[in-house]
Amino acid sequence: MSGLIPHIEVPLIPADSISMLALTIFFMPIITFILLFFTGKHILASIRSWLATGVMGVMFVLSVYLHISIKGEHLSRWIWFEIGTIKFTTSMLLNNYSTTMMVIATFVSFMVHLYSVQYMKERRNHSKYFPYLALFVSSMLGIILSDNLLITFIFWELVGLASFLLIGFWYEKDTSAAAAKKAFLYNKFADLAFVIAIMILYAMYGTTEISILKELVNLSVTYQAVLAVPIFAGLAIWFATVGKSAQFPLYVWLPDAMAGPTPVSALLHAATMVAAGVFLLLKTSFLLIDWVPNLITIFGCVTALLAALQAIRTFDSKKVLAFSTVSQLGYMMMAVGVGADDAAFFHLATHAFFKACLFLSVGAVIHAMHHMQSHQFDHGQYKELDALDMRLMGGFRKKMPITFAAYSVSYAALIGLPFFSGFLSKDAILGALYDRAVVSGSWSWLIVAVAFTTVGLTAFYMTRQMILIFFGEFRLLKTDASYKKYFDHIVESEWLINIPLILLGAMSFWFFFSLNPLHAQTGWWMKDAFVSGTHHEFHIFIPIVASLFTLGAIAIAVQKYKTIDAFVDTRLTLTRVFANNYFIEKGITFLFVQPVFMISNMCMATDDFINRAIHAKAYFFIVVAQLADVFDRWVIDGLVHFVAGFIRYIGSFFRSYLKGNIQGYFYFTLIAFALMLLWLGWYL
Amino acid sequence: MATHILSILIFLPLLGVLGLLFIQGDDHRSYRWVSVLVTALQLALSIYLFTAFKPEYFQFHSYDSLVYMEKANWFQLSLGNLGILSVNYFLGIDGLSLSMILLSAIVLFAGACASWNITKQAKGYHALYLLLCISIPGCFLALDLFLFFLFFEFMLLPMFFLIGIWGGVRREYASIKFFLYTLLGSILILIVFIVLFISTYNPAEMMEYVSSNAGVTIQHIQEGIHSGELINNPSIIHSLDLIQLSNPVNYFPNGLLGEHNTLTVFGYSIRTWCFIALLVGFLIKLPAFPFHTWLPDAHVEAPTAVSVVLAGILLKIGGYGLIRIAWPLFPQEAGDASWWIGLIGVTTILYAAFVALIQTDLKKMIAYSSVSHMGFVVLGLAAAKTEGITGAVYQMFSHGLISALLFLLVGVLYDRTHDRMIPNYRGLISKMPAYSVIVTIAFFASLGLPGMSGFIAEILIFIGAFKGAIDTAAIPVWMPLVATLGLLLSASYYLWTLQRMFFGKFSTHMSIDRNTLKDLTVSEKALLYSLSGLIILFGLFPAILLNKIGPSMEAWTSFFINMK
Amino acid sequence: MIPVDYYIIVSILLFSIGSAIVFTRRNILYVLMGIELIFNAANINLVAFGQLDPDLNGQLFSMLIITVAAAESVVALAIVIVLFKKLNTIDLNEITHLKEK
Repeated sequence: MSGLIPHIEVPLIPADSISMLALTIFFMPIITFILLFFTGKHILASIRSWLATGVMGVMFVLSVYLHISIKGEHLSRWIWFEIGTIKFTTSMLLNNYSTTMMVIATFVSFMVHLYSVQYMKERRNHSKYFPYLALFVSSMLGIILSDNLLITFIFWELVGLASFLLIGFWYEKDTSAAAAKKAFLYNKFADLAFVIAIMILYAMYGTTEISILKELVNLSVTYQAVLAVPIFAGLAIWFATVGKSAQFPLYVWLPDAMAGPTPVSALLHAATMVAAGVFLLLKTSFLLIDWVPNLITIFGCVTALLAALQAIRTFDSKKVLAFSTVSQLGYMMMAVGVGADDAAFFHLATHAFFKACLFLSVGAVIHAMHHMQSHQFDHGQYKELDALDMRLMGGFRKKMPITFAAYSVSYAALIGLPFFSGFLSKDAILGALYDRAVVSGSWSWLIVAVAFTTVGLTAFYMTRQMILIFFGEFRLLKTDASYKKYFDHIVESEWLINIPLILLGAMSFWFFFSLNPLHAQTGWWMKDAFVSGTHHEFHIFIPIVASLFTLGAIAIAVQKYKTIDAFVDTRLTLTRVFANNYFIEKGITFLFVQPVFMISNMCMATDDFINRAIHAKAYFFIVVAQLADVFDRWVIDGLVHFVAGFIRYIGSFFRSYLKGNIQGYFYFTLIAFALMLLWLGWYL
Repeated sequence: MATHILSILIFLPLLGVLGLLFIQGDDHRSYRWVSVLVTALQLALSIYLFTAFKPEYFQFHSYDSLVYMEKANWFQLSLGNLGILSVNYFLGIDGLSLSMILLSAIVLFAGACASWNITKQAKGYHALYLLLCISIPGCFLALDLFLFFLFFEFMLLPMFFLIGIWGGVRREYASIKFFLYTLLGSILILIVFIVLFISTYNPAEMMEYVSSNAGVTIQHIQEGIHSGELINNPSIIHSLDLIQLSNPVNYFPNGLLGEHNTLTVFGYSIRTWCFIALLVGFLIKLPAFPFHTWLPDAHVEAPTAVSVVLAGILLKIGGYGLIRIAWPLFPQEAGDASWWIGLIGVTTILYAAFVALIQTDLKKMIAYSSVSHMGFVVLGLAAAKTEGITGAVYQMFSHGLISALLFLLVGVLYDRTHDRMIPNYRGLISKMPAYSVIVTIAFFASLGLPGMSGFIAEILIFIGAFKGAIDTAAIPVWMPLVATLGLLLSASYYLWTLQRMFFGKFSTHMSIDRNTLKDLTVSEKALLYSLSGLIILFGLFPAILLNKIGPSMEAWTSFFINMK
Repeated sequence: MIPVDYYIIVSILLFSIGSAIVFTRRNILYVLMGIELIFNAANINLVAFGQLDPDLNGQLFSMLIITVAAAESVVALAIVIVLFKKLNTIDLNEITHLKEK
């Protein structure tokens, strides 16, 4: 079957100095993890957090250096283990693409660490928080650097583990524990597809090295040999990313994952977990051939739309952002589907910065809300307060100007206003979708239409969130005026929280990515044949139309929420559908969980049945044994008893002459001996 | 010394048993030291064997492939016209036994440490435990099937008493069930051994007797047998030397297992029946669906250390027997039956995982998860690819470590509260943090998290099985695909347990005395941490083991394919 | 060379003395000594007849008997000690436990 494809040797390549540097960066968080995990409780909390943060800062600086100094590709490959002649290799690929991702990941992680130092200080500072963060970052770096699917899978799962630990960080809360389990299981379900992809690729091509696979797949495409392999492998890899990058229908774990600490959410949504899926898909885009890309586009489109619709309905401030992440990931997937890898990666990068910033600034507000709650608690009037509920917020603009500024900058980037990074990347994706629709026509136009609609929806729900949190009056007072004195005390957060906000907010401006604020074609990102080297057409009407959608949506949102300062009910139609995650979870419970338990019970019954059968067999033997016993006792034993009884009678006759005295026995022996001698004499 | 190192390894515990006799009084403190010391010595010897082993490619089941080979004639029995029964004391080590020996030394040591707190009739307990320490390595090292069977059966005796005397509430039931189940398997195996014995001859030993006649070679003898000249000769030597049995020339052409035999029973040849008997015999031990119901009972009732040994090594003897005896001796039949074997594997994986999901007894859940994980071994075997078979061996090795850890952990909880029911606990993590950390590690290791040894094994089995499905169509493609669901199920039951027992606010059932819930002691920590360390070590650096056993596994595959 | 008859006479004497002790003494230790005498009587016979055998098997055998007798008396004395511990007597008239009650 695979005979048509020539065999390609997998050469071993020692690491050069640049690769060694990359390895050093990779191992730094691992060492931090080990160090802090085992000594965690014995060192001061501040030392612990600053150590982790410092390491992350150094990693960021080194990553930037790596990114600047790298030229071309650096591939290094060495043997992990071997079974006789079969070699399992591991490899690391450094190119523009991976180092850029490294810079993004380390930068966002560094910011999140800085933020966490302050943020976690006032919470129960669990000694495991920073080691888990380090584990998270190192696994992400593993995914970025590895050029081997098997190794990628290892880090892929470790990202899942780290997210499990961090989402369930406040394990005492039942919601946290449940959300952690849910996140891990949804991801695990999708990961089965990854295992299947590895199985298929290894069985057919004999290796899991991505760069070798790329050649092999290209060869198979050229030779037209068994295209089913790349198709199914690509499909499987895509399904794996459906879990990790939260695509329809598995995205339901992501909003729940908000149960973890806010900085973790920022990290999860920006540079590590969800980005991993898109990144992997970009890395293995050579596998996406035939009808698979169309499938990816359609699912991306559905995800983008459904998540945006849900974001409109949500009151939980973090969940709005979570749904927005899902929606933006849908955009990235659409871009991957139409082959616009550059645009997808571009959006991944810009999104990483502004989404982290959004999370952290909303986190700052929540932080302030928590403060009020804990003050309340100090005064002995503890009341259950949902610090995340946007309906209880409002008017934070004047109280926390820096947070507000950071939020609005990244807000602008997310909804795609000109002069902001999101504008550039989103337009690149929309342009790619348009180009594709021009070529393939028919249903592709629907995709374009949905994509533009979602741009409008994004603007709507973000404007809504902004108004609810930062404008109007502080609505908590309407329900409970006792919070008044605490609200007056709210001030801007500490600098350790503000600095990451400012830095991340600054990254939302256009000039980091392209000097031309209106389109990215001339910017370094899209121009230098950065990822795929393909040329992109620029259509001037796309940003114009997108901006019109955006502005229209903002106008509607402002109109709708302007006057709202009461406890708002922003119910739309289809409420129940939205609130229930479109019944996806119910569907999964109905289709999978319940049958699993049914099968479990059936299997248990089978076990019982097997046991019963064995018992029945045992009882049968026991009955037979009883019968045999009766026969033994009355027939065979009876005979034996008769013989024995007879002999016993004779014996007891002679025994009566013995007194138990040992010398008596001697006499008898002597007499017997004498008798024997007599008999011998007589006989002779 | 070096030439008898294997004998020393096996019979070292006998010295320990003797030592136990000389210890006076009922002081359990001194007995336990004997067990720990002896198993520590065994461990040291095994590590020496492991490091000294050189991975080189030799034909599987050839004398060259064995290091530290010990072979001596034990006894010969003239059976008249049937020939001569020759039994050898034949030990040797190759890549396959190497991994198992290392595993059993580690697990037996861990078990000895876990027996630390046995106070009831400690002398007897430790004596029986040391007997177990003889028969288990013996089983892995014996290459004469007579000797193998001897050790194999001898394992039952201490096990029976260890469960039956030191077990839980239903210990009598469990031990009898265990004994009868395994005995059934042993009988099937014994029947096959007898058939093997009467239908083969040992030309190498016959050579020794005719060596005075110059010019006679092994080929001459083999030709003589095959041409019918030497049949029914009282000087034919039969033996159960595994190396000789692996050579198809050494079967009488007209014997029960010979190539010309046309006798069929219920439509299948004797060879097929023999393979089925061996398969069932070892599958009971493994255990696989539907022969697994002894295991949950035995595990639940057994004391901690015995559970550790039971799950850690005894199950592996089933898998080892399949790889060492059933497949090499009946390659054709194994190849033909691969579909059914794959089905058994997949069914075991999923079935046991499903049952584990609804268990409320922690120990029972882990017992079922053991069954599920052993299913992977069967699946890897069915495909008979180097990756799959190596994965199967690695799975046995890693599951030995992981299940030992898991049962030790259950033992820790049971020691404290005498309650293992999952719903009776909540939020244990805040009361027993160190314990919870290790439980989390063990659970994740068992569900196949990468970075732990179980992952390497499972991924190797999967790619091996899939490769087998694609290349040779040994099993259908859907089997490995469906089997991946086992990963999801095991993640489900472990995480669900974690959520129920360890997360949330701390609370316990009212029957549990909360004051007894103390975190791990230093000695418990040492044992548990080192086991988890090993699991992670073998997960990150599988080269430690796989590079050593790789050539042997490759030899196994090529042997199997050539024979088929 | 001394004729074999003399040896036999000595051995008969020894045997008779030994038997007499065994039958008449009530102290278990005396009984044991008597048994030793009987042994030696047998040994003398063996040695005496053994000198007629060029292979000296008889002599050899007597050596074996001496060794075994030594071992036996060790066991016997151990039994005596245990008996004394249990019954607090070594008077044979009082030790009648061999009879089934």
